[in-house]
Amino acid sequence: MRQGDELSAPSQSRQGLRDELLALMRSWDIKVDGTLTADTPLIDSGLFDSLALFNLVLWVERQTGATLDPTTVDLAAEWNTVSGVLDFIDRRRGRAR
Amino acid sequence: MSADYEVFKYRPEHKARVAELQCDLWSSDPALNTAILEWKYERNPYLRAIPIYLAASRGQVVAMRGFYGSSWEGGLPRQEALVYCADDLVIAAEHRNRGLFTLMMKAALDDLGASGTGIALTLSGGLPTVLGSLTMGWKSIGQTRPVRLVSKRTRQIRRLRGYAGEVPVIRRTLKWLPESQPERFVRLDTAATPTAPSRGGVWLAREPQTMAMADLVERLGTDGRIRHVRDQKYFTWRFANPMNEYRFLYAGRESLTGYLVLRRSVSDRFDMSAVHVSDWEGVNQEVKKDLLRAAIEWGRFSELMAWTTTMSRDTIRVLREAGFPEPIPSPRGIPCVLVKPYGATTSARIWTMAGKPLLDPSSWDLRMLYSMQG
Repeated sequence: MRQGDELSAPSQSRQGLRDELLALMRSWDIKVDGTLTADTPLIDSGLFDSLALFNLVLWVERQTGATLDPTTVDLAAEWNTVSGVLDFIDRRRGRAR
Repeated sequence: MSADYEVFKYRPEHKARVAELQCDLWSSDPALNTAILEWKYERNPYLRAIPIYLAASRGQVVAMRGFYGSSWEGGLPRQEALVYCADDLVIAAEHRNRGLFTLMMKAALDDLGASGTGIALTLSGGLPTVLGSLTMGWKSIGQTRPVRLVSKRTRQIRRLRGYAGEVPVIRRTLKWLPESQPERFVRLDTAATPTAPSRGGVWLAREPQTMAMADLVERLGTDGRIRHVRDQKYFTWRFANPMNEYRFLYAGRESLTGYLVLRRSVSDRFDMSAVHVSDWEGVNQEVKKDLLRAAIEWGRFSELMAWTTTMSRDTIRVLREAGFPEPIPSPRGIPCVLVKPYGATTSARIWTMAGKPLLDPSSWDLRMLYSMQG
């Protein structure tokens, strides 16, 4: 990572992050059949449009404290659920330590 | 949800609605949008069909994704292939985040795949489009690495705006000081008169010398990298884009030794003050240098932008000597060019063209001209 790409990464529990992300997604007005949970398929279902993904990238960047190059990530596999996104953040934080 | 939408192919009776819908993307003028649609899709030299995919809700067209035709070549000896370029995504504001992007892209690629196999490109997508495409298996070939030569006046005004943005009185004053005027090639046209001091015999034209340009490209030959076919047919169509105005700097008279194409947007949806180096060729670096210097000295543009992706180190050096900054990769990986094979095949060869691996940037010779930024 280059200097200047670092963002300040808030430290928060996984549970806290999950609640924050679910609340955020609800505010993005994503239309879900039923309730949006940590395991609702977001990408497979076509539920998650490009604008929501854009917002999600910005949110993940804030959590990991680093600018993200999404072209290097298999978004369909890794970000298909809220749980998957949180796993991704865990891995990135682990790598940065 | 997607069940509320129907995706289908464009038909001529949709033209007026598409022109209206494209007021969010192409321009605020439906008449200009109609002209763009007719040029890009109806008069496309590579396809008779019009692969525009529309989504409707309760009978009203609310979204569009187009795939215009293009012809690319690669390898030695050259092999040509029809390539679909995904472009012109627009979704009416109240229908965003409803899965329409995925729905339309899937319908389009299924439809294209039903008639064969091939590759599709996205040459100038913004971050949202890139993200949506990545989720559907598109992959990045590499960043376009734009570089900008910004005039001193424009830099000063931008700096002033940066400093003063927080001070209401100054901010109000700055509102009346435009950062830069729409570029209309006035300085270029005035300076580049037949009597103007010439650099290496460089001269300016408003019309493309399509035959001479194609002849130069042919004489320069190819190194086998994948690139758009630049023949007379292509140039004739390409420079008729109603969204842009072009100027052509040429070196050589009897037979061209180089050319540099400058483009400005006439659409209010795009930056009208920046000029783009759409394409640039020369028999050697000296010719390219003369062309670029003539463009800069005659045009005195607020901002001149060029892509440096896949450009040789020697040519990047010419840009640097002219005052452009060193190209720096973006940490977000965009802007970039995306590729995706389509069609029913499981062969590993789907990620190759003319024997070249598609995901290796060194397989490509990419120019801004091939995208709609050029």
